[in-house]
Amino acid sequence: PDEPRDARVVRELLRSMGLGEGEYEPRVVHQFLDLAYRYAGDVLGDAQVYADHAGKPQLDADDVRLAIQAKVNFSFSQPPPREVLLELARSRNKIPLPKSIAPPGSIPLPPEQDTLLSQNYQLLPD
Amino acid sequence: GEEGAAVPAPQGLPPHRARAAGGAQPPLHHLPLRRLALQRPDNDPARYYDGYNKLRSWAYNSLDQYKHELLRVLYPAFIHCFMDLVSEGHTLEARAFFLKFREDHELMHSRDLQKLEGTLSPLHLEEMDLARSLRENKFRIKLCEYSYELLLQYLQKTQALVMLGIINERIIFEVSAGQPSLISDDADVVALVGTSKDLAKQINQKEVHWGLLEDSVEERMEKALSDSDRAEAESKDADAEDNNKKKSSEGGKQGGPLNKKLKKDKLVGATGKNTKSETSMISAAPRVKPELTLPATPVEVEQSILEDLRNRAQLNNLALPSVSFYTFLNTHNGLNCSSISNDGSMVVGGFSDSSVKVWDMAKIGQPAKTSNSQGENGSSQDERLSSTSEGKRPYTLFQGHSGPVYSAAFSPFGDFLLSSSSDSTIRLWSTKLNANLVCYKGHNYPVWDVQFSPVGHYFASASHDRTARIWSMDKIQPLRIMAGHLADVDCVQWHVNCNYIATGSSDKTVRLWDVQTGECIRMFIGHRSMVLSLAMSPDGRYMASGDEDGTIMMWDLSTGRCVSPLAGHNSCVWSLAFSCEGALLASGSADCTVKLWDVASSTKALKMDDTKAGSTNRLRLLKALPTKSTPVYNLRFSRRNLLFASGALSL
Repeated sequence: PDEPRDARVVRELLRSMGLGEGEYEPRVVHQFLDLAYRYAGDVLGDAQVYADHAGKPQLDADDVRLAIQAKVNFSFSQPPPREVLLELARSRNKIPLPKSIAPPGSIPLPPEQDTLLSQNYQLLPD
Repeated sequence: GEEGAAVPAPQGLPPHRARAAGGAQPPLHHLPLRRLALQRPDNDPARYYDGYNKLRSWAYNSLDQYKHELLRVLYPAFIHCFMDLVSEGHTLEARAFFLKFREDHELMHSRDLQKLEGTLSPLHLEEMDLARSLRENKFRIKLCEYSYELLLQYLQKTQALVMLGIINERIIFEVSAGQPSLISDDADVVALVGTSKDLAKQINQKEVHWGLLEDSVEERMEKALSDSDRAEAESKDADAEDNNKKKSSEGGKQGGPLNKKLKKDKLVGATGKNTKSETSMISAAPRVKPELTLPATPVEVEQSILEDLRNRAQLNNLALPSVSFYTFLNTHNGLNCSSISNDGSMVVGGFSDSSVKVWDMAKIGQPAKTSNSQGENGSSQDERLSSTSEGKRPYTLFQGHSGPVYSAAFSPFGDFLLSSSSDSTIRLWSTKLNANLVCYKGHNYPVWDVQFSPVGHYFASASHDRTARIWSMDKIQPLRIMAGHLADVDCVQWHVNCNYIATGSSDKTVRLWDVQTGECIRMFIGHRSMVLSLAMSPDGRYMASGDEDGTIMMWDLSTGRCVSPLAGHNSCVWSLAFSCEGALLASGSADCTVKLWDVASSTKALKMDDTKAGSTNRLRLLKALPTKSTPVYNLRFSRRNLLFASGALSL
């Protein structure tokens, strides 16, 4: 059927991962297209900002690379590597467990500023 | 073909040793493999193809008795040949190699194969987690002595240098004397562990105190009922294993104030005698001191627990439980998780639209309150309006998360609710005040599971960042961080004595952690896919785990060995639950059935054959209960041994 070239690319991608024609809902193709357009648009927008900041008349590959790097730290980041986690765990696990506990019948809660119970509005005088 | 001409004969080996023959020669595995493997010859991609092809045909042509052991070597060889080809940049040859040989391994490793299929360049290899962990860690393969010698003979005889190099670098062999193992033991055969050798063995040798908490309500009731039976049980304890702690001195102190209870419980004296045989597993378990400071239970709660204990239905393989199933309708694929409170009165559902909804089953069905008693026209108008708008919604809506809610858990006494979500926070809600009390932030990645401890006040969470954390309700920072899994942690469960936590992960292992030190003290290897659910037996001795393929395995906590492998379902096992006296295990799965398994008979058999190694004791299926088309999300035995289950209807 008539569909944009990008949609056909997405279908090819899905086929290469092992999913045949009827194995996914048609929504999936639209969602991938959405993601691809939004990502490309954001990256290029950021790259344009970097180019303007550097005073360059036009975008070039370096700007795009920088934009991609900046995005990676926010969206497609990986959990910290194993050594970092083990170090963090070691330092946290050294602290001894708390000895005292709230008497039964009362609700044990953190200090009031850390709960969500305080009022979240302020009355301003006239 | 092999580059026999280009490479000189192995250095330092006298010619008579190079010939493979039996007799007066020393066994081949004493020869250091290093002397046989030289530097890799030229950069010819076809050598991988040839080397692997030959190894494969040799393995398939070997004697049936040793064949399945030799076939275990093929998978690591396949994976590393493929990754070597990719990292050297021979993309086309890598694809051809992959396509040609992948079907051998589809059965056992389809997930890994799917992930590796997409790697085409050296850059992909570096970025992909799975590839990195495969490169860094070694495969551990168990072989019998003769199979190992056959393998070495073959590699030496044919000068298969490429294969030799790969096997040297990437595989650690565990050679056991005697006969080749049976095929049915394949479960824990090929496992990926960390870089240090024998890591699992080292870990599994540490002590585990698996007994029950001293001074629990159940224990006090038993003492009140039958003091003489207690003495009998204690003499049984005397020859328990050496890694148990006992604190029987506490027992004497409790005798005094319980005299009043003794009079009340005379009525139940008769039933008490009957319960003795069934609860002997629990009363025989040693007692342990808690490591965390535990909250005291309020008196009314204790009374209701005692009431429940008296009215508990006794279950065994002849008396099966009644099941009460809560089905969610019209969820439109939005229900991610569900949980039921201890007495079955409240059901919570966590949804993809980040809402948490609690249904109070006790109040459903009652007419909505219409307050028309006090107030004149004006006020009664308002009151009627408010009552009708409240009456419309049978559930209480808790909103606060900013991402799909993946797990929800009630506190043991039903007054608090915890929910965890993909926005990496855990929120505490009060069911009595209908308000969000605290938001715990500590993980940076979606939190897949959260569980209250059996006594309340503490809870544990499992997240995508490969750690599990222990929190206390009154601190917004976690108390302990359990790091060590190689992939994200999917489920977490507390041990009955609150001193240990078990976690199941996508790296196919289950680990047991000590709460006091935060260290991993047991590692259970054997599952072939991600571990989705865990359950602890009430006597503290066994643990059951279910995975994505539908396999259920039961483990003995003190030895770290699997008690009964390979029971199962056709699809993911979402939930497991032991009955209150530990005789039955219920499992709920995505194939829309609830199955009941007999634990008591397989553990009894185990106690008798304690000295024999490797029992293949399968769990016996007592009953399979199919639902119409409702995958079972959660199961729980109430204190009276009524089985509650919940699921979302998916037509």
